Amino acid sequence: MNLEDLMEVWRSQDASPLHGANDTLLRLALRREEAKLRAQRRRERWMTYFWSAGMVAGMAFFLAIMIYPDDDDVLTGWDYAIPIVGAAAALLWARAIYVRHRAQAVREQSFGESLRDQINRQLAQLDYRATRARLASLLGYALLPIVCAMAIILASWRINDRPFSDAGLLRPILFMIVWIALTVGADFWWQRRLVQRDLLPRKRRLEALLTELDAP
Amino acid sequence: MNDEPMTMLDSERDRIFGDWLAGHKGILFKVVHAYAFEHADRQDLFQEIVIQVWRSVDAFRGESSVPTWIYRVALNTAIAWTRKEDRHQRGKQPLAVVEGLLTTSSSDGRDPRVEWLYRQIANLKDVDRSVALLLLDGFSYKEIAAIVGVTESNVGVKINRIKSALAGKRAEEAES
Repeated sequence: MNLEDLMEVWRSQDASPLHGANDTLLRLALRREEAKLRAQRRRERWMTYFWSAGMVAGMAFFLAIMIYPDDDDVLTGWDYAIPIVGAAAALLWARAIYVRHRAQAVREQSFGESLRDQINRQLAQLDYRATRARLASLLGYALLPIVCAMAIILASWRINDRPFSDAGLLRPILFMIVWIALTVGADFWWQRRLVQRDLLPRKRRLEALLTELDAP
Repeated sequence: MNDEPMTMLDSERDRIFGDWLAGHKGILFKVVHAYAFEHADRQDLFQEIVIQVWRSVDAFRGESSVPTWIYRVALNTAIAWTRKEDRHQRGKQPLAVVEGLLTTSSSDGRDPRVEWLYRQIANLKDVDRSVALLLLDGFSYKEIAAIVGVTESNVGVKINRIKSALAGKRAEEAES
């Protein structure tokens, strides 16, 4: 049997397909997928807005309290600068997240539609996920929230009429440092585990597929 | 609250997708049958392919024919799906499968050699399986090269190997 014969046999299934599809259930599956996609996009958008707005509102609140003091405390220019810096850090953080996601989206779109491009796109996605398992990247990502947290502590301190020279200020700062170190450490451990257990094996399989593509 | 209202683009996408499905559903069935072997797996893969094809409507620019595009999306999804198998086995289903989406037709009147072909295709590696499906459906070397992302000469080498494997198996079965 030559190739022409095989192709004829193959084409015979067009008249008598091996399967059929339930159109009603198909539409149901698509509606469900559509709703899931929309909900996911909406959730991501609102999370970013929520956190940024929360940070900015918090800083604005501190600033308002400083601008309208109910006593005769003397506030310096530094006291006013603290919530402004905190709010700026919150906005920059939201912007940095957006730019990072956008750059990755553009990178993924730069691939074509062939199987090779799809594999390279998935490798790029895995590399993007894996960056969170690098300590330097994680610290860089946490830097702006640290500035925000520090601004909240310092602004609260000053609103309560306590000077920066007060040794008690060390306590909340130390607490914040320990809290952030624990959070970053736990996230780092979790991401490393994810990379080792999930991302690396997937990456190896994709690379094996690329090798298979190139194999004669 | 319910989801946002459907936009014109959504309804247009549904219309195009409906046309694609009406005309080229067979491609999806072939890919599903070649890459998944249990009924539940076929349901899962079929749903995943359908969703990926539906999502791909926006990206279709008419630079290739619709069957080529659908084949491309379906094969990419199928190969990605086979790599997810271990995740499936650990109970992490990426999709909530709608049962009954894919039905199995009766084999009455169908050439039994079709199933034989599928069995031989199942023995090939993932990429060679894609090449075999495209070859049997009459795609040119150039089209296969574009879909798979390898050079035409590499496609030629792969096709020769597939042909030899099929001919060898046929001869072996004829002898026994």
